[in-house]
Parts: sequence; C-alpha cells; structure tokens
Amino acid sequence: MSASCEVYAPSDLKTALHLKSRYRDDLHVVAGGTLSVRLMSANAIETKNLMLLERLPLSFIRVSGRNVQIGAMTRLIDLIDNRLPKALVLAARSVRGLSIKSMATVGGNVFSPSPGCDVATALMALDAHLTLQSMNRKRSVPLEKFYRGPLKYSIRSNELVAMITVRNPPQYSTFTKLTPLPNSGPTIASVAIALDVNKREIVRRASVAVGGITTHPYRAKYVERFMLNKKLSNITLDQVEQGLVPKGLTIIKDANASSEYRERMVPVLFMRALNSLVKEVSRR
Amino acid sequence: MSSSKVNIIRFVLNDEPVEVLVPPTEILLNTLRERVNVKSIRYGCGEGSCGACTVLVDGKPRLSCLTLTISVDGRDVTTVEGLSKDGELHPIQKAFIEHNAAQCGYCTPGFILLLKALLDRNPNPSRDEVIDSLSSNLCRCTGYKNILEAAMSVVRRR
Repeated sequence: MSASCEVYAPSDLKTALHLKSRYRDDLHVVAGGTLSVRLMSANAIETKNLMLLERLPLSFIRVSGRNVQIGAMTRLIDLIDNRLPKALVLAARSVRGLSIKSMATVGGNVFSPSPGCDVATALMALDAHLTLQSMNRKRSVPLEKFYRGPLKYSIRSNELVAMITVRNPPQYSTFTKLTPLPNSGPTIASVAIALDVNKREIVRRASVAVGGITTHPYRAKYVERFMLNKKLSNITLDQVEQGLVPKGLTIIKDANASSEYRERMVPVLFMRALNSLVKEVSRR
Repeated sequence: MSSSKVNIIRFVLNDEPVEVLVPPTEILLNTLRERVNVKSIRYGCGEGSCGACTVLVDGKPRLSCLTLTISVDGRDVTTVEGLSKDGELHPIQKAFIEHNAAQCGYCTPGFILLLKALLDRNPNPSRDEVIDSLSSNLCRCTGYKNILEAAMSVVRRR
C-alpha cells in the first residue's frame, strides 16, 4: 500500500466527478471499504490517488409508486426495508453479519465478484439499471449488460455509479442461496427469481438470475423463456435444469466449494426459490 | 474544491478528543493499536472475516481492518473501553461475565460492541436475529453457546 497517495473525501457529487474526470483510472474509489480497502491492504492494487465516497449524498432509498431508486452509497443494512422487492430484502439479509451489512454499499456490491455479489444477483433478477454519471453526461445501463467479463465493467474511466433503479418490478420475487454456514455467510451459489402471474397462475413475466458460481451474476435466459405462459406450479426441475447453468461458463471454485458442487446446487436452489413463490402465489 | 488532502485526523474516541498524524492509507486498526495504544482492538484476519477488530463509528459497527483512518475524521469512535461509565460495566459486559462468555477473550470486545450496535438498532431482536447479526464475528475457542446466552439474557432484561 502506498503511503504517499493523495486522498480526497468530497462531500458533493460534482467534485467527485471532477476528480474522476481528472484522475480517471489513477483514482482508487472507496465506497464501503469491504472490498476496496481489503485489496489495498493485500497490496493487490497500487494507487496514487484515493477517493472516499462516504460523504457524498448518495445514501437514499426513494420509493415512488412501483419504482425504486437506491443511492449507490446506501448500505446493505438499509435494504432490509419492507417497501422494497422481497428478493432484494432477502439478498441483503443473507449477507454475513451486522458489520458487513453496515459497511458494504449497494454500489460496491455491483462491482464485487463472487462470493460477494448477492445484492447484485437480486438486482439483476429485478431488471435493475445503473445510473452512470460523468461531469457532462448521465446514462442508464442495465445491470445485466454492466458485466463484460470477469472484473470488466461497462463503465468509463470518468464515470461513477450514482444510483440503481428498479422500474416496475414483478409482483413476486425471491432470493435463495447456499452457504457453508448455517445462517448468512459466503455464497456458494444463489438464485433470484422475479415474476408476474395472472389469476390462473400463468407466468406472464419471469427473470432468473444466478449468482455465486461465476465471477458475476448472469441471467438464465432459456429458463426465463421456458417459464413464460406456463402455469407456475407445473414447472418441474427436469424441464429447466439444463438451462440454469449454460455450457461454456467458467465456474469458480474456492475453499468453500468446488466448481462441480456449485453447478449442481443451482437447480436445487432454483427449485427452492420456485417452490417458495408457488406457495406465496397460492396464498394471495 | 471541497475535497481535502487529509493527514491530520481528529476524532472522538470514547468521549475524548484524539488527534493523530497518519499516512493516508493507514487502517483504523493500526492507528488505534499503535498510535493511540488501544489494545482491545484485536488483529484477527485483516480481511473482514473474523470481527475481532470491530469498533463503533457514530454508533454503527465497523471492521477497523477495513476502515481507513482518514474516513473517521470528525466522527465518534467507540471501543469496548468506552462502554463502562463511572466505573460501572455496561449491562452487556456484565452479561458476558455472568455467562462465562469469554474463554481466551481475544474475540470478546468485538462481540460486545457488535451486540451493542444490534441492541441500539433493534432493542428486542429475536434469537435468530442475534445469531445472524453476530455471524460476522468468530470465536476460535468456539464459545458461541455462552456468547449467545449472554446476548439473549441482555435482550430478556430489556
């Protein structure tokens, strides 16, 4: 870790964007610190300049009708809020312990690789969009298209993630994950499902995101298409299993689980998530 | 520009003002242990996995191994030394003693501070909420049962 780097702690977004524009990739950005400070301490990155985001006014949750706007600096603990889609609440709740929940931010989580991307997995199932802001421009990018490969993101060197928006989320959503600990813990695999059904429980909209097994979450498009126009309770595992983990993915392995185990757990988690939605829909 | 290059850091530690001169990338764990001489903050894993270095910043739990000292400029930092008032231990500390919730004691300050943060946020948590909240902290002596009993005894007394 360099002891001679310049440090900035801007209190307004304009100043932060000016610094990002000036230093570009030579500015290491720290949101909650759970990933960025760890990388610095491990000497995994060398930085000449440092920008702390925590004084920026980007910690907010705005719910307007069926739309939700979440500031990038909102802490995960603040997502445990009944006004938000259930998948998002469950994902935040599943993050290990009060300390990490109180430090980690939503904006940081979308950059975080597995096993630290639970909230990003839920957001992807909810079709979330990121607002990327630079000095002169603001643009919206679907989270799904934000990931261009392992640790490669669709963000320019002069931009910051300012806000995450979920527009008109499906009526039902859930998130489930497998961890080596009995309660919340590091993710081995996770599945988030969001869907709308009509009165006869026919699926009218479905999105399925898988997290924890690849560097970043992904959408199971085949499964989503298959679910459309099917009665929710009639969907079985053998119909969708092959589409949950498409061939060609590079599945991670770590001390918690092998890649084979991760892959095999995805269908199990999908069915757990689906069954919980079937029960929820039948209770309405 | 409202940004500032920060080297002199001022914060309130357990109701006492502190001023330290730190390199910009120093973590709070090292500042508290080496510059301020607060030894209740423990180095465990250095990567946010064990919770032994937990402190409260403005009443919220922070892992001091993942917190840059410059980020606490102007804030209130509480360590376990700051919980007792006028020589009287905090109820959580008393509960840990009553339930023999410390074995080697290395993790104890972190657990106590985390429990305080939880109870300040939610005065009446369920047992599952307590377990979930404390799950970011490790006890290598595996004394979780007594720690949980101590925690629940504090909840019941409220």
